[in-house]
Amino acid sequence: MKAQLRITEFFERYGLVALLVAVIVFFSVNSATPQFDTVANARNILTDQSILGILAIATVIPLVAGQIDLSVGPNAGLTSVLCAGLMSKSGWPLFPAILAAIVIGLVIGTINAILVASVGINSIIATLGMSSVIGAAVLAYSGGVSITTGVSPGLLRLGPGKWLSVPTLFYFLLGIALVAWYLLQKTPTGKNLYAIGSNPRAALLVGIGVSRQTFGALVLAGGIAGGAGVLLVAAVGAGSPQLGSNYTLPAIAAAFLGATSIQPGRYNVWGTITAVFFLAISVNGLTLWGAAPWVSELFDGAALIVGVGLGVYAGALRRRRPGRRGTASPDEMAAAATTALHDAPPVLDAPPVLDGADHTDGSDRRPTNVTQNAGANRAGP
Amino acid sequence: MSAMPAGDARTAIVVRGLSKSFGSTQALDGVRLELAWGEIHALVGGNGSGKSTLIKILAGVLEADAGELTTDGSTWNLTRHTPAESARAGFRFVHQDLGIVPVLSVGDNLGLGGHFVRGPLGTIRSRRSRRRAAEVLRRFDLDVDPRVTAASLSTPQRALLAIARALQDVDESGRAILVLDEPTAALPAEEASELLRTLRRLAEAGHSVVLVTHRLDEVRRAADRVTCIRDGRHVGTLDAADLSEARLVELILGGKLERSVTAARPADASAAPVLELRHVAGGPLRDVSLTLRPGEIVGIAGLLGSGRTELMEMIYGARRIERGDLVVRGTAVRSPSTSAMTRRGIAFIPEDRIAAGIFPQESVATNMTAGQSERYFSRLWLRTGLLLRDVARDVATYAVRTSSVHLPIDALSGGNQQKVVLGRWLRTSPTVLLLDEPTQGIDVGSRETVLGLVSEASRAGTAVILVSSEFEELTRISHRVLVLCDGRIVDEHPHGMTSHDLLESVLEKQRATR
Ligand SMILES: Nc1ncnc2c1ncn2[C@@H]1O[C@H](COP(=O)(O)OP(=O)(O)OP(=O)(O)O)[C@@H](O)[C@H]1O
Ligand SMILES: [Mg+2]
Repeated sequence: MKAQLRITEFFERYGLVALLVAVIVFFSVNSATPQFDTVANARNILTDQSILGILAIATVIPLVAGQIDLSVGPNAGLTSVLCAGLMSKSGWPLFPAILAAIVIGLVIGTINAILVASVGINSIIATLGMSSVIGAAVLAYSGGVSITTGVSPGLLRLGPGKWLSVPTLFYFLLGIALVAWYLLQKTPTGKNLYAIGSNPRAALLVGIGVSRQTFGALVLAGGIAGGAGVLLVAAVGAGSPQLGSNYTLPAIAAAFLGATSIQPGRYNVWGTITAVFFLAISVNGLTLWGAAPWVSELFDGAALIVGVGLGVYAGALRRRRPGRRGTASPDEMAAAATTALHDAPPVLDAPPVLDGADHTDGSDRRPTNVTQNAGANRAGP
Repeated sequence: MSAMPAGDARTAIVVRGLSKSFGSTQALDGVRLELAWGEIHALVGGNGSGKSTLIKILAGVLEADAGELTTDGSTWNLTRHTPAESARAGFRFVHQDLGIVPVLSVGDNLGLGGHFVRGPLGTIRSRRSRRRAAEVLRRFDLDVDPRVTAASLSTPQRALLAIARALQDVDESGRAILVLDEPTAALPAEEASELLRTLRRLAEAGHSVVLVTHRLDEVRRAADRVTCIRDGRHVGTLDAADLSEARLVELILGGKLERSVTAARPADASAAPVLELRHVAGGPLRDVSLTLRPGEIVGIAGLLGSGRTELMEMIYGARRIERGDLVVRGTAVRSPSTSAMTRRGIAFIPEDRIAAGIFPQESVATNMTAGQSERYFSRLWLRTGLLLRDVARDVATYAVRTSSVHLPIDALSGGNQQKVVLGRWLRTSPTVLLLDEPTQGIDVGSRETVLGLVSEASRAGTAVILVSSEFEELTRISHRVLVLCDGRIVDEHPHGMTSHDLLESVLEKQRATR
C-alpha cells in the first residue's frame, strides 16, 4: 500500500520527464526519422526552444502569485524589433540597444503591474489588452517589415554560437531558470508569492505585502521578456515584427503542463522546462516523420487542456486519497488567478490608501465593472 | 431509554459499522449513530475525532470504507453513497465550511441547490426569487438585502445564511434530518440562542436534528440525547438530561479537565503603553479610545454588528481609519499597511479561518510559517531543515493533531486548522496580539491549552486584545473587559465579574442605545 503510494507519487512527479525520455527514445530508434538523432537537430531544438523556455519562466513567476501575464510574447517581440531597430535605424551601439530593450521590457511589466496590482484590473484582461497595444506599437515602429541590416555582428554570432558544443542560447535559459528556481524556492519572496497565489486575503493578514509582491512579479516578468527579445534578435538574425505573439500560447501551455510534474500542483520552473522540451521534441519528431506543420499548434493547445485537465484529475484524486504532500491543482490555481483580485484587492497594501474604500468587509469586492465580472467566472486562460 | 431499539417507530435513521481511514489515519472506526424523529441529537467529540467526516459521509461527499445507513424501510450502503441519495433519504446539511459562494449575491446563495423560483422553461425568475429570498432572510432574522454579494457579509451573517439555505423549506417538505456541523461556532451568544430555539421548534415539528458543537452549555441546554465519539470510536449515546458538564467533558476527553488558566497578575499600570487608540472612527466605529500596556489582556465584549472585528482590522492596518489616531509604542501611525504593522510586532488572528486564515492545500508547515520565511533565510538560502524542525516542535506545543507536517492543511479537522493559525502567530512572540474569536471550533481540552498559551504570552510581555463571544473566556482571562456597543466603548469591567453578569451588562447597554 505504502510502496504503491510511493510509485504513484513518483509517476506524478516524474511522469512528464519519463514521457520526454520515451519520446526521445522512440524517435531515435524510429527508422522513419533518421534525422532525429543527429547533433544538428538537437542543437536546433535547443536553440529554438531557449527563447520559449525563458518566456515560459517569465510566465510562471506571476502565475505563482495568481496572476497571468499574456503579454510576455508580444513584449519580447517588441523589444527584439526595438533592439534591432535602434542599431539599424538609429545607429546605436550594441550595449545601449540591449539596455534599452530590457528597460522597455521592464516598463511594459510595470504598466501591467500598475494595472493589475494597483488599479485592480483582472490580469487576463489587462495583459491581453496590453498584448494588442504592443502589437500596434511593433507595427508602427517597424512598418511590418523585418529589420535585417545593421544589427551588431556580435549579437548575430551569438545565435548560432556554441560553447562545449552546446548552443550558447541554451546557457541563457539555464541561467535564468536557475535564478528563477532560486527565487521561487529558496527565498522568502518565493514563499510569499506562493502564499499570495494560495489565498491572497490570508497572505495580507499574515503581513505579506500582497500588492507590492504581485507588482514585483509582473515587473520581473516584463524584464525577463525584454531580455528574451534581445536573444530573439540573436536567434533569428533580425528584428522580426511577426514573432512575438506566437509565443503566447506555447509559453502558457508549458507553464500549465509543467505544473503537473516535478512539484505536481504548483507552477514550477523545472516542470515548465520539461514541458517546453517535451512539446518541442514531440513536434520535431512528428514533423520529421512527415506530419503537417499544424501539429505544433495542435500540441500546444492540447498541452494546455491536458495540463489543466490533469490538474483537475490530480486534485480530485488528492482529495480522495490524502495523507501526502498535496498542493493546489492548476485549475484551482487558474481559478485563484482569476479571482485573486476579488478576494483581496492588493491595493490594500499599497502604502497610503486614501481611496475611501472600505477594505475589509468586502464591499469593495463587489463586481463593479466588466473586468471584475470576468474574474468572477472560473474561466482559466 | 438511552439506547433505543432499532425498530422503534420514532427511529429516524440508524448508521452502523461506519469506518473511514485517510492513509494511515483511522478517522472513523465502526461508529454507530441512531437518531429519532422529534429530537435534537448532539454529536460531540474532540478536534479530529471524526464528527465532520461522519457528516460528510452521510452527505455523500466522502465515501466510507464500510458502513450502512437504514432509514425507514430502506438500507443504503455508505461506501457508495451520493449527494442525490442523501437528499432522497431526507438529509439536509450545514457543513463546517458553510459553502457560501462569496462572489454570488445573498439571494443567489439561497437559491443554490434548487431553491430558485423557475419559469416554464426552467429559467430563473429573478424578481420572484428575490422576493422569496427576502422572505427567507426575514424568517431567519438576517437583516441584509438579497442583492448584495455574500462577500460583504460578516462571518456570523454568513453562518446564518448557510443555515437559512439549508432550512428554508423544511416546513413545506416531509420529515427531514437536519445536520448542522458547528453552526454556532461563529455566532455570538444571542444569535446562537436564537438558532437553538429554531432547532427546538423544528424538532417539535417532527424533524430530527443533529447538532455538532464544542460549547457544552449548548449541549446541555438544547439536546435531548448526546452521542460522543473519541478517536473515531463510538463512546456512548446518553440522555442529555442525565449529563453533568463534568461527565460530558470526561466522555469527550477521556479524562478530567483542569480549568487552571486565569488572568495573570495584573499588568503593570505604569509601563509605557504599547498601543493607544485616540478617538478612532471608521466604518461601524464611531469613537473608540483605548490604551494597551505590555502584558495586559483586554477583552472586548459586544453583540453582532458592534464593530469588534472592524476594530481589530483597523489596528492591524487591514481597514482604513477615517478619523482619530493610532499610536504604536509612542509613534503615531498613519494609514498603516498590514506588512508595516507586522514589522512593528502586531499580530492578527482573523475570525474567518477559511477565507482569511489558512492557505488551503498548502502544507501544515507552510501554513505555520506563512509570512515568516525571512526568519529561516540565512546566507542567501532558505533553511528548510531548520524550518521543519521548528514546525515539528510547534505542532506539539500547540496540540495540533496531524499525521505529518507535510499534510495539506485542509486535511486537518477544523479545530486543528485553527490551532495552526494560532500557533503561527504565538510562535513569533508578538508585541501586540489581536485575537478575533480564537477558540471557535476548538474542543474543551484544547481550549484550555490555547487560553493557557495566550495567558503565558501575556506574562512574557505580549499585550493581547481578545474578542470573543464566549463570555466565560473573556471574564476568565482578561484583566479588564470593555463593552463595545454601536461603535463606542460604553463600559469597562475589571477582572472578576461572572460571565452571566457580563452578558447582562452587554444586553442592557444594547437596549439603552437602541
Ligand atoms: N482529507 C483528509 N485527509 C487526511 N486526513 C483527514 C482528511 N479529512 C479528515 N482527516 C483526518 O480525519 C480525522 C477526523 O477529522 P474530522 O474533520 O472528522 O474531525 P472533527 O471531529 O470534525 O474535528 P473538529 O471538531 O476539529 O471539526 C482528523 O484526524 C483529520 O486529520
Ligand atoms: Mg469538524
